[in-house]
Amino acid sequence: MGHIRLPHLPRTRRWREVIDLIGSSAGTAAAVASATLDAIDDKFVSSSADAGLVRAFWILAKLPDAARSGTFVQELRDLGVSVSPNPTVAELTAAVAGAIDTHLDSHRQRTDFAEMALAATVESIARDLTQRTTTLFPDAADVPREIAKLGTEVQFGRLAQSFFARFTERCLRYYVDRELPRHVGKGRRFKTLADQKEFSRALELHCQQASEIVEAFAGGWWSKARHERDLSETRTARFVSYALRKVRDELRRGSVE
Amino acid sequence: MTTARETWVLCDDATRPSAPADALHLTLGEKGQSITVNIGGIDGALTGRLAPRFHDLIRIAAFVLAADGAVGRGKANDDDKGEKWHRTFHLVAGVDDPGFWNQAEVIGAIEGTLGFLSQDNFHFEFQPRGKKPNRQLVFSGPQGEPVVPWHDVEEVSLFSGGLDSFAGAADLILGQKRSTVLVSHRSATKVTAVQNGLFDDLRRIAEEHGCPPPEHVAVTLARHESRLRGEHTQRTRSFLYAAIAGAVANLIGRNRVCMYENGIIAINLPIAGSVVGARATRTAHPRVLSGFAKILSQVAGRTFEVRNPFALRTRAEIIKGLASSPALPLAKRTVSCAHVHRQSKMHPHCGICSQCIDRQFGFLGAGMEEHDSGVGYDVQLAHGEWKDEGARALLLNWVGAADSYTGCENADGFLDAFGDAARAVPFIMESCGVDANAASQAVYDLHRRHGEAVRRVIEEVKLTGKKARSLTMNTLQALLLRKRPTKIPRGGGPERFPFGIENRLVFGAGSWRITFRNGPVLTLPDAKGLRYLSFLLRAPATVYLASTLIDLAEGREPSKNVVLDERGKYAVQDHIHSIEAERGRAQEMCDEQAAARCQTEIDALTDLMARKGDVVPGSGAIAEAVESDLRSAIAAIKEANPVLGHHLEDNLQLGAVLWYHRSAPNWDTAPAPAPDASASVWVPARTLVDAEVHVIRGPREVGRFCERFEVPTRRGKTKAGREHQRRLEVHAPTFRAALRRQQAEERLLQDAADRALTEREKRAGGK
Repeated sequence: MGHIRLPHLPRTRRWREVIDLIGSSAGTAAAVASATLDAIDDKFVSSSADAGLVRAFWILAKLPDAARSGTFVQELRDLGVSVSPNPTVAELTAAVAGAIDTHLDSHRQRTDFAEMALAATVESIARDLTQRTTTLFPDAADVPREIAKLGTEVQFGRLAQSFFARFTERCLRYYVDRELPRHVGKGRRFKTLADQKEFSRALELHCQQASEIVEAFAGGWWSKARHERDLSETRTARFVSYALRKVRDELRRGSVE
Repeated sequence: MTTARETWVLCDDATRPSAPADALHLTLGEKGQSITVNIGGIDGALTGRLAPRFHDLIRIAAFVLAADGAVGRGKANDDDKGEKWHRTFHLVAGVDDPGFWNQAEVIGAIEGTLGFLSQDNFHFEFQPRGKKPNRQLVFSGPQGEPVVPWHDVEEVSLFSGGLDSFAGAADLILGQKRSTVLVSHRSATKVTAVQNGLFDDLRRIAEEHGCPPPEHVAVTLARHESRLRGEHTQRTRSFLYAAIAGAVANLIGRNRVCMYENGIIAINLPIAGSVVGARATRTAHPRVLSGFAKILSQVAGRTFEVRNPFALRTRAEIIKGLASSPALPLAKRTVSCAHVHRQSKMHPHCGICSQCIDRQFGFLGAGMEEHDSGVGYDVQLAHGEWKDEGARALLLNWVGAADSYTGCENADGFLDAFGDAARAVPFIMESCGVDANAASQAVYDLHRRHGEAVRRVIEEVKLTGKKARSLTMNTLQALLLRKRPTKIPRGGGPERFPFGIENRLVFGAGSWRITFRNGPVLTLPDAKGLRYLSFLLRAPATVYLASTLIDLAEGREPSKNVVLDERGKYAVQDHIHSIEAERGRAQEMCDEQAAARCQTEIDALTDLMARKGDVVPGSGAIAEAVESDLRSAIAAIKEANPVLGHHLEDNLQLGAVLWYHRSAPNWDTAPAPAPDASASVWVPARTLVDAEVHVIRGPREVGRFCERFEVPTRRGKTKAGREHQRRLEVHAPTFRAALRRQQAEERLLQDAADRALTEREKRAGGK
């Protein structure tokens, strides 16, 4: 029963450029990213209106706050994230994914952006905590403590950068991956699958670098919102919109300053 | 088939005044209605009647599947963000017990499970059923005879005729010796034949080995109206299967249903960035099975379980598990292929769908390929020709994903790379009774084992390919015959694919060479518009006055005392407002860098606004001329490179003041040298025609023009140097001077004509 629907790119003028770039050695990750953003018009920035995306980032923004509150479990429960007092990385990420899914269920807001945002949230939490809890079998109590450490301007900036890098990469790969395998084989741009993967990796790194611009202000925004006791979903929505615009501009410029 | 995103579905006699006129009306019953659900083997003869709530559940599931098939999810090449993929259904159905079905918990469980399963948004509303026809569902066998001796049945298992469900049935019946009812969906005649054949032989083997022979219940869902069969993805069909299997289990007093699917396909992580949500089916996802169990528990009024005993096994492991089973010889006859319409007697497997790819890798991974369908694959994994682009893409994505699983070092690293995996964890915890760490580890181990098995198969395939030395470009060996990529640590590493992006606009040898996003080089003859463009592109967000651009293009120092005219002031004021808004947003977001940059721009524009002095006479005409030159240049670019043309149109502000958008790409521009009237430059006539297109229309006209104004010409060599292609070249400074003379003459003539006209009009007015 495991059907997979694999979409492909339309052959319109704008997508032709993307397809041609992917097929030619001139199509660097930056060029492909820039052309793809042009081809999808404002869909990337308009994703900021997606309730699932906003909820996902809002939960991410509330996590450090909850860990520093002293009532970690209760604070998370208020967000719909049900965890034990000393959750592990696996428990926390599963609970966060569950909370976002429940929100999408109850508000009937299932979209592709929401799906990508959910995965980006889980991945950025998992990555951050995995890097911090470096031991093979970390003490579960490490997790709330390490999340609390995210509650500084610098650390939250990094977390936000990680989230937007992953979300952006997913948005681009949503289109680019439709075309990449078509250019693998003898006489094509990517001789083998390994070459194609290397290109995907370059695209991932490019998104990470482009998202560094978010790191510069995300921490300040979070700190200010927290100070003003207004880390609300509405305020988060405005931030997400602004951050996506900044990342898009970086990617459209093509080179990361 | 409708493609509207919101669809109202009125089932049987349900009514809803607010439903639109184009609402979908569905009826369930005998032939002549839109849908028939025929469950051969269970009816009054067996148990009297189905419990009314199960009766309702099956009807609801059938309506959901019919609605699912009636509304398209868009095309595979849509470039939207999945707006068509995610549909919204308002389903209003009459039921026997609306009080039960309208409970928030019940509706929530159905909507949540279906939402996750199909990625659609469902709204349910239940009404009391008005008329109650005798047979809403046809539940009879040919003679109404009971085919299920239910008193000793222990298990109910879904049976599709595919490898996983067959292996599950074999394990239940022959391994665990449990009395089992197999519930099948008869989706097509070809499938029915496979299911019946396998069932008959399983039953025979069971009898030979002293195991309780299984029973078979087959379900046929007929959608009589063609509009209900338009969308083929049918993500909600497992809801109907679960409902029917649950009804059967309830009939025989059991509270468990088995649905066998290997863990990789059940969790079905996206194999590519383009496979988002339910584009990879979630038919047997642990969360879906948990949702089905919740719904069945509510309907039955007691705890119900929907299990997938293979949730943590790869297909290769399932195949290995069959090795000692007396049912092993039947494995060859199972059909896993998703492309039923492509199946033939000779090739029951297409070989290229995800199921066929997984199955072939499974048998090869288990080292039991002799028990596979063999020549039954239309395209064989290792030696077949993968010509179809879609199939190649699926294969490469599938292999690439499996390869990625092996790149993760531990369970947390797996979650870091595959965030969707976290969704399975709570339900693995629930079904296996383990904590989150163990569940996460199990999911990771499952995928790692799968990845390693695939890698082993690939290594063997590569070896075979090397030995065969008969690779064509479309074989798996040819696609994979390279060493694995070097692992690059996250966050950095050398790249063979540079990040660079090149946008260039440079002048040389009398023409402009333009490269946009590393694309092909476009060469255009020199023109004023291109000179202006080179200054605009060089400094995004810098505001220029038209006269400044002219000064720059002609190599003069721009005047610092130029004063804006009224039109310019309005344009600059508007621009200041938009930058102020941007600054406000940047300040709100604590983006100090952006706020400071906005402030600098505002200061520069405010200075420009505050300049005192006289407006340059004819500034409006100058602005129009510059705009006209720029538009000509953009038109020429657009003709050769439409993408760049559109980009410039979208990102250049033209008018009294001009600028290139702040977020536009960076350009490498080398300005053209200022035109030097005294320089002895010979220019091809063709270049002049292109550059002065509004004055001279063809090379022949250039010749006549040069003759009239005594402009020196000569025959120059082409690059190839061939005599017969010698081109006409013109002495550029003399030509430009002549052009200016002619334009001045034209102006004088025009002025004289205007004056004469005015005088004539005056005289006419006086009379």
